[in-house]
Amino acid sequence: MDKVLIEVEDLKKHYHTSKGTLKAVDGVSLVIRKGETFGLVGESGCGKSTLIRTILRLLYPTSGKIIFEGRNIAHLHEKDLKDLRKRMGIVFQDPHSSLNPRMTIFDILARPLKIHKIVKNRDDMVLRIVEILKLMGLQAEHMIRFPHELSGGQKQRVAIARALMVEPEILFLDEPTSALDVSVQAKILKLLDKVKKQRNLTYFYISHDINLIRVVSDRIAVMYLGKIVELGEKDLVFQKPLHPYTNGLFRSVPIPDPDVKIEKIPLEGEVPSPVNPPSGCRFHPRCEFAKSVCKGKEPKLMKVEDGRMVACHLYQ
Amino acid sequence: MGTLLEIRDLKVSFDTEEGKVEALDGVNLKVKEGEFHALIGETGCGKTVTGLTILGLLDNNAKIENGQVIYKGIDLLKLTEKQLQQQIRGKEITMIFQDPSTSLDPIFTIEEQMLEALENELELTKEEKLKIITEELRKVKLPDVEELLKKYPHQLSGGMKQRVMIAMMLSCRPSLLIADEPTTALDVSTQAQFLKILEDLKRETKITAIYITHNLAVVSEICDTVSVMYAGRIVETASLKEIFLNPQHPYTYKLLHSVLGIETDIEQLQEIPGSVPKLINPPSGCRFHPRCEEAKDICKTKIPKLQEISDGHFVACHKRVMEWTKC
Repeated sequence: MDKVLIEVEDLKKHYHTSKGTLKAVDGVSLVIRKGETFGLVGESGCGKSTLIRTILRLLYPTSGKIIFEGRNIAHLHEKDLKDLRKRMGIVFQDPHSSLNPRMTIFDILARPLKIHKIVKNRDDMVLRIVEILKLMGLQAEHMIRFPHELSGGQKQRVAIARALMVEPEILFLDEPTSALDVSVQAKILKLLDKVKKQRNLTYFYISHDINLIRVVSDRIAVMYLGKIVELGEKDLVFQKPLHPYTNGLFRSVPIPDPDVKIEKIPLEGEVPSPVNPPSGCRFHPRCEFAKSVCKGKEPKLMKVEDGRMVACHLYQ
Repeated sequence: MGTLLEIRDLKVSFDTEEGKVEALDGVNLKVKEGEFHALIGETGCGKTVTGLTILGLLDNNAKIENGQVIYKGIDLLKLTEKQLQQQIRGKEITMIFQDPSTSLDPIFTIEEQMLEALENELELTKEEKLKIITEELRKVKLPDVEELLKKYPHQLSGGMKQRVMIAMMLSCRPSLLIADEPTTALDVSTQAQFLKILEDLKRETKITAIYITHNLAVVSEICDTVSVMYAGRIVETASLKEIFLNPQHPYTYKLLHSVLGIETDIEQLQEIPGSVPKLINPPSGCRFHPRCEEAKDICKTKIPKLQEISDGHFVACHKRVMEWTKC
């Protein structure tokens, strides 16, 4: 469990726009351990998708290090990335747009095998595809179908199968169930859990759904405007969130219990633009505990107790 | 509390290339004055179609085969398009949709769009209308209202746009609001702000609402009564507490226990076997029977009726109703 798989150090991804520099990811450091499920939660626009796409090197980082199994892959040349693609997989949010509508399920699943020259002959290829379809709870006859013939849940199973074809070490799951109904969501989460145990995988979930992150993760991180504000063991963070943003965010989640109502609006105002983010702590304009130091100085993500870190002047 | 709206045995079908889709098959629903009535169910169960039928907004390929929609004593299905437009839509019943960015017209300012909503109010001058608009925008806690009126939709955030929609509908003083997944496109913190605004409205204006959603957690925050839909039928109606603490229909039970937050452990999450049926050739009898672990022979052949098993608790399930009549 404690072996480090990926170490991200001060990773930045900036975009130049007509209005100024948009700092989508602005100095993120974290460690992913082998075999764990890491959950990253944050509201839309906080940079969580950009972060995982940068770690996966689907985007070129502005600066920082991404150490994967001891090697810095942050500035690897495009042609050296092929091996990496085999080791790290991703499942996207919307299976309707992540599967090519003109390819059959067989072709979609065969493609990674061909690209990475994993199989020797066609029989072997068919065998592997049948096997993975079975693992995903689909039938062999689904091979000859096109994506539009499948339901949303079935399509997402195909997307997961595609990511697993090359037997990666780690799977990045970008809101894998947000396009699905609740009953289908439960099935997909259980399936992912089963596959993880069978194949000793490492998962990196990102989601805006706090309840989802709570159910699936071992450790979690909370992101706000391009930065991680809190990180730690799931149970610790949920029992007692330290950062005022984490606290407000968790209290905003409606609780499915008729006796519990949200009394007061937990987070006032809206997330500011990442083009000209507030000075100091980016959360200070919305924070009820903000002091003068919060406006001037940016808090660093620091260890406050065993198993958790927080970036807030209240604890430094 | 009197009944504001009653839907009786409503059947709606759609002609499609693949065949006739029986989208609504005998929907019965009573909405009491002043309550927030939740209509919950998964994609394709017919909850949005129910909302659109009430307002006469169905597409051309839709056919209302049977039923009545009684609102304040009038059958809305018998009204002409002109009557609906002049007397009902906006003034009496109004609807807000899931995605506020597509509900607002991108080429008009907020002021122009809000004035258009009041077009039927012939006796009001423009100044009076503007006064109403500003008041309503303040009620939904939007800052800098004068400036906001001059803005275009793209200059507002999702949460602000949804509040503009609420203010727009409030300006017409309707009695019934149909909200179709109004917070699905919003972040949790904006959702919490939006729900708070709705709750204040409910208390201050006594407005009645049909709240269409798949999110049971949101339902538990603001609704009083819940109706659960499955494959074009209502399978259970009860008070919020009854639904959560004493769900009767097997589908309601499964649905509740597949919600993250009610279950916090992945092992405990319930799965519903199979998938939602296509409504071109829906299952006979109870439409849930192929996925129901408790199904009996009668469930395959006979459609269960929605029956009252305790005060205000209705369920459409052969097994439950039989158990109840025995004791």
